[in-house]
Amino acid sequence: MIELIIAGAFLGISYFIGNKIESNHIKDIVKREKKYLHLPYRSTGLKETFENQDGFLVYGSVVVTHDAFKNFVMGLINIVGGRVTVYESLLERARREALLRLKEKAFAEGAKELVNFRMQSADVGYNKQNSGSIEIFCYATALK
Amino acid sequence: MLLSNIESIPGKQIEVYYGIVQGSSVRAKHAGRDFMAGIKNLFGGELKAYTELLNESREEAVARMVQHAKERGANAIVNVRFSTSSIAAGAAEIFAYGTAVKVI
Repeated sequence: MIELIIAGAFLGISYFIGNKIESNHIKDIVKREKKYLHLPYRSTGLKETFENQDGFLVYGSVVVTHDAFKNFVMGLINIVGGRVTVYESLLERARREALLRLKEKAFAEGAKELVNFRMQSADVGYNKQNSGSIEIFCYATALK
Repeated sequence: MLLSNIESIPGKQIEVYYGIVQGSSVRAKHAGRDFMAGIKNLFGGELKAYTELLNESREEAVARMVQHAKERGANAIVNVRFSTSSIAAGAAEIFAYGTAVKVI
């Protein structure tokens, strides 16, 4: 019984803190995204030639992990199957964060446009039992 | 050294192709950082230590690729691509490759 209470309290704390971190992060992302709305980016442009423009390679990345509560919910959803919304929201904000970092870096160097934008993800879990740390990495060629 | 992930360098013309150049880097964090990441895993969010680690690793992979290109006499690398794979617990390999060219 006592173990159940401890586990419950632990999940509660994890839910509370994890949620707080998530909502703060989303607020922060929305604020920063507005700043870079005028910087267009596209995934085409591989075979185009750009004359009279300077260009350089930029990249941005972020490593995120789930919290214990998300992990618990994932375990439950795994039984019945279906969409895992707790992970979807985590990955969505990680992608937005990685893109923002790329844009910030490009903008600081005077980029006007980003072409051939590519995004990839890789599992970089630090041990077998607790994988779920994902790196989101994106790169593009910035045009001045 | 000019880098791009498209098939040309903006504002330049490609003169000579030198073929594929590559660079890779495998890194791991010390156990203290792994422990901190374990704690962070309870509450979720970003693992700054790992973001840092992979960024350093990526810079090194790119530096090695650039070194490779320099040895061949190139002054730019086009169509650069990256790939990441987790090869062991707490270690990741970053691999970068591209085509070395001479531009004017």
